[in-house]
Amino acid sequence: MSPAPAILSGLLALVTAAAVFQLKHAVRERERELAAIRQAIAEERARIRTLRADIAWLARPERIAAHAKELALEPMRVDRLIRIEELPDALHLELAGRTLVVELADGDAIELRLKPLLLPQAHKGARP
Amino acid sequence: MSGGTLDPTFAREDPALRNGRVRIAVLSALFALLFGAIGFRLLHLAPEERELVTPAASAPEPERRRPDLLDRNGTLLATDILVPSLAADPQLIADPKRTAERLARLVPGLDAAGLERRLVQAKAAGRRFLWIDHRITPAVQRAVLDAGLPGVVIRRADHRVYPKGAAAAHLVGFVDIDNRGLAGFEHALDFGRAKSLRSREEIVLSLDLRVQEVVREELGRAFREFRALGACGIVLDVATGELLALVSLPDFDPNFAARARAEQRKNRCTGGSYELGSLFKVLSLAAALETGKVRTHQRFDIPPALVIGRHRIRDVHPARRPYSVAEIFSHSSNIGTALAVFTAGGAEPLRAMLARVGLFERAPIELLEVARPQLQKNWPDVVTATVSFGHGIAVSPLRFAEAVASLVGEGTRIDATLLARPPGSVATSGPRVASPRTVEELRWMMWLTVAEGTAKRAAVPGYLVGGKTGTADKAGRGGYRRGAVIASFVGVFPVHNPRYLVLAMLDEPQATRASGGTRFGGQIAAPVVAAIISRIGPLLGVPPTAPVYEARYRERWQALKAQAALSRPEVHLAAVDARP
Repeated sequence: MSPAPAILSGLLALVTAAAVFQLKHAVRERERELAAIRQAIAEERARIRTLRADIAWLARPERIAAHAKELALEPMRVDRLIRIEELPDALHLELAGRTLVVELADGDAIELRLKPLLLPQAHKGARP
Repeated sequence: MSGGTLDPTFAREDPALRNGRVRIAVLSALFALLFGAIGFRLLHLAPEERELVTPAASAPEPERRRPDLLDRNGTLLATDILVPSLAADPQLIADPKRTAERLARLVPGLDAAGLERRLVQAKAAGRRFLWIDHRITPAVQRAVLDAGLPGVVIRRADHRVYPKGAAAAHLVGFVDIDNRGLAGFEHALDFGRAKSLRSREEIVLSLDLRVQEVVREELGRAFREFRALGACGIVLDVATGELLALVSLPDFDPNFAARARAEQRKNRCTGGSYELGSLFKVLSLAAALETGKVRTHQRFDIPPALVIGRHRIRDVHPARRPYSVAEIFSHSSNIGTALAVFTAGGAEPLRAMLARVGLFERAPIELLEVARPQLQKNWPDVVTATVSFGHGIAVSPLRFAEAVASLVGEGTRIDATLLARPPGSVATSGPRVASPRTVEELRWMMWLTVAEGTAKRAAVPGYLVGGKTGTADKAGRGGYRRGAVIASFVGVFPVHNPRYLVLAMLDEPQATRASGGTRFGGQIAAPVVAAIISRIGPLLGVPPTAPVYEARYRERWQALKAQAALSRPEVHLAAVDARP
């Protein structure tokens, strides 16, 4: 029997072993990289959480209230709200932008501006 | 075998020799396989770095982080941050005495002798992990790392922080040193109704921190002004059952919960049961109206006292004329309420109503410190009478707020929740508790109370507010105590179509000049609710109420008064079964 097949299979085994070892090594390298990245992500996340907590702490109501004056903040008031029915009609708003040129008897021309008209009965639509 | 190409030697070979060769080939193949397998296995077993490191040093990620708690606008209420702590692997410490001494010099407040003892014990027990100090400062951490003590490790662990401090202490609650919930929502998250949410990244609560802060400020002002023992403020979304604010005073900072007294930790809104007094007339008159046997315009003769058996019921402000049911409500007449309830059928309709709005059960909110209502087993006439104006039955303010929300909202049962509902959603279609007609009557009577009755100080410019005042004598040993009262007010706005309910309750307020020298709920609690509504209304985007609604309510009130001037009382005391 010739030794060729035995040598061949031996070589094959060696090559395979080497390849597998190489692969294993590369995978481990990648794993180490991955672990490092994961660690970095975890660190960043922890930092973000701490910073978010910091922001929330700095924006706590009593602190904002203490700075309200310098920030020109003031409480909302109900008289600053307006019901939709109290708004002037869309037509009025549209006309408000236009000017009307009127020619007077003596030949002069003057421009008249239309003013939006607030209806006295502000909430006529309220009754269902 | 003639003229074949086969090797002649082979043909001529001894069969035994041939057999031997085959065996050798088979065996060598087998061995190759075996060694190959062993080789591969060895590669697999090549040690990983992490196994070479001590277990203490390779801090495993802390098990499961608690979810962040946010308010409905996304404001952070509670979160975990990583904070370094000091630990050791006792097996790696060669000289516990020296290590303990050096550490004690670096870490303030650490006792060298005690630490040495613990290290020695843990080492003897074969343990590989020991906490030395929780939550060290960055400066101490650096000092310890610089010292480079073998076996001593820094381990970072999650630590719960509450950036808003005391703002929502009772709702959010707090945790113990191992991050397990001890109170409030945190408690329910580990052991209560919110358990299923534990694995979430974050939980959005129904709470609105802006509203919470307004309530805390306004209620706190009254709490100090009237030197009360305690106070509770609630804002409830009537449409969805979401709790927007819940304030219990005195409060505490959950970041330092261990320092808080029991008095501060107590959640008076859910964990305390109170006899709420006249507030209850909302429920008892709703029950009477719901039977259809009593109407708002119906008038009653109000005697100076109602005698039931040995008991005598009086009014704080005696009526000098017959009252309609609406006036009984707005002037808060105890006698009138009892008469109306008896006219409607006595205990049965009242009990049925209280059961429908949930007053016989615990509130199913996502908290654990929830008191069960306290009530009598048997309801003889005298109990029916006292319950009708809120005595002899004790409930938590939250439970009561839910009941009122059910009645003046859609007339369907509402149970408050601490979890934000998706925007735009409306309360579940709970079982009906009152007919639309009763709901409408109740809203009108609540408006009347603010417009013409005991709660004039609850009026808010811009919004149509309705409500009911309560001034309940506090029960003490052997009866009710003189001068100790629970002053309260429950308000809804806009009352013609309620969106939010606001409740304020003060426990044992002292009369001052601000309250006109009285302890009435209308003088003490109603202004608090008015102040809260005027601030949160615009904040929550509630449009100012159109004047037409007030005009309509007032028209109805004028009609009732005109009718009263012409007619005689329809119901006389003689018609009431409760007469002794």
